[in-house]
Amino acid sequence: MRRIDTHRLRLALTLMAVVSVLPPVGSWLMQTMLTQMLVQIPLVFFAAAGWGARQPAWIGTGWLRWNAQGAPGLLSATFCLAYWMTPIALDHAAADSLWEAAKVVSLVAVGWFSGISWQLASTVARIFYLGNMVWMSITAGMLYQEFPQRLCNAYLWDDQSLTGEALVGASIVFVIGWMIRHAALTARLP
Amino acid sequence: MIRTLIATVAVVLIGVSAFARLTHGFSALTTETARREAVAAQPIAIPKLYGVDQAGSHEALVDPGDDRVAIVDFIYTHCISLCLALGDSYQRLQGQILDAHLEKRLRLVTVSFDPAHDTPAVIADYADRMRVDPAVWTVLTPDDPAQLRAAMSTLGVIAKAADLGQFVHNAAFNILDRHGRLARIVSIDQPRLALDAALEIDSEP
Repeated sequence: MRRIDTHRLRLALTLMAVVSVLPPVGSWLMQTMLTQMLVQIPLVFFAAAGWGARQPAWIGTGWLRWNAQGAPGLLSATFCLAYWMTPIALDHAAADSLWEAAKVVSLVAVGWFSGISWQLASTVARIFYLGNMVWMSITAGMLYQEFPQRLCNAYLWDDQSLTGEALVGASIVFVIGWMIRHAALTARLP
Repeated sequence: MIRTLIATVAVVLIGVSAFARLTHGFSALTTETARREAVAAQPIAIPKLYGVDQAGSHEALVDPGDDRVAIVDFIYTHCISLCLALGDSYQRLQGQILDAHLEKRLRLVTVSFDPAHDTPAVIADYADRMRVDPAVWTVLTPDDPAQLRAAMSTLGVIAKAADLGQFVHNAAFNILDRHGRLARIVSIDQPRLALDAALEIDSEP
């Protein structure tokens, strides 16, 4: 039963991610910083990660030595997500469809790769990368909340400050959610 | 293990160089900073912008007959925040230019980005309130919205309509050289720096 549920969740997430980058909904989500950063980017990233987590058979095992503990894979996710959280990159993506396309392609590639890598990582390694991402998002969120000037030419100051609050909130919820899920999965083990 | 290390180093190198490219060598985290650096390195030409000044005469933002360096800003007259501070700075700059007899070298231009509201009569009234001296300071309301949009886009001025007839907008001292090219952008909290930069641009050959 669980397998089917996971598969349905993956399909639903993929459908939402596809809708979130295509014109009517995509351009609407790009109109505010909040929806670009906290709806579109996470949707695309996690939908791709969902497919990577299936560990498709065709990728084999030979290359795993290049990705012990999923280290390079998870590190690339950190870099990619940080890159698209930078004000100048948000501006480029909002103003230029080539940049937007590059953003989606890189998020899909890195998301998929980190889905694979996440399965290879030990709990300690997972905590390290998760902690790193959460710390980074909270720092960016605090900066966005407190910065007195507009950081993005494409977005308003109110939007920036709200995005900052939402980034901090979402990071905390995400990490607590992960901890609860991790504890539940661990408790089930013999 | 060694292969993973190599892959990790490769990811770090790619990541860091992508960041370096994005931020122009770690110096610009925002589009605004990147633009300021680019303009200072290479002045850019401004598209034609015509309008009516405070005296009711037809003027151009870049007047070929006027080879003074210009400090230009964009406002709307019923603004209740940023433009008020900018107006204060312009008044002070006007005083400093007159005191130092620099009016043959420098001029100030205020352009309205809301010409629908800021009619010639409204800007004449604004100029009166601000005690604008026409020898130094021109207040301009553009007569072609398409020209205004083009000039704003080149100068990087962004104004978005907000509630209660207000605008959310950015502001800066845009310094045009003697050929009417945008040569420097200075933050609005640094009027002294704007004056110095304008003089420096004026003394360039």
